[in-house]
Amino acid sequence: MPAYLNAPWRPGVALAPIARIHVKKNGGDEAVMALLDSGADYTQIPTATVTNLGLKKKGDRLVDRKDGLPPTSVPTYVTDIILEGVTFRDVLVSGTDDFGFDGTPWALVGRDILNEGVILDGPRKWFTVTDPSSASVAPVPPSARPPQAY
Amino acid sequence: MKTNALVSDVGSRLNYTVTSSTMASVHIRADECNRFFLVASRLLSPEEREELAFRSMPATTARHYYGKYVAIHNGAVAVSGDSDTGVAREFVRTFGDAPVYIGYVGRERAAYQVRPRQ
Repeated sequence: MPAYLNAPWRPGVALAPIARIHVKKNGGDEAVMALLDSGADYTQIPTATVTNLGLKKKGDRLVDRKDGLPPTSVPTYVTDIILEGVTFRDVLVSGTDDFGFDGTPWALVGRDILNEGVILDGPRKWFTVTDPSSASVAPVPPSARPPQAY
Repeated sequence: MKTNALVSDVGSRLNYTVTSSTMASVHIRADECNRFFLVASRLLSPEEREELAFRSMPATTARHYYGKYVAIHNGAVAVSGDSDTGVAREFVRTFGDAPVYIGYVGRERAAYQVRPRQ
């Protein structure tokens, strides 16, 4: 099970679920650092990765970055994401450089992937990844709490 | 860039047209509009043509798919659904890497993403 790593933006203070993911498409393979972010609705990849893999735009989605600015439209691309050896196929990712460290854009792995096969274990400081296409994946028990109205 | 500017221009006008249901308000007569699209479509890539088709979706189609994500292929709705990820996967399963534009019909609610770090 991959251990949480030091977040480079807060060295020695914050451990975070960080991994080097692979973005694959058109026979190409790009490795990029990523934060597994349960607060992100969608997965996003840097624009350089989009360019290097020759990804073609498949649409747009509206993104609210909670920084006081109005929501903006970002392009989307279909690609395979490999996280800890597990392939998540045909993920509709956003292409943007909005997250990164020290001038280098990072990827964010959002809940579109996390909800398919990733367990973030905060107390133990590790995460596990299971193949979403595997029959051995145990179904997640429904929460005992009733749905909340927000 | 010229093409992008044209697409942006066409897109913004069409968005306005769809919501206002009047061509007069954007100062393009219907006959000019058709000619404009014809010229524009020749300049566009296959993907951009699908986007143009999405942005110029007829009002009846827009009403039918209101509140859904749609995948536009060959100028028509090929797949629709409640999530763009689901629509994208179904489209790829059926059509492979064919040109497509996936968008939300109606007023899309913004997805949450991380605060930019500089």
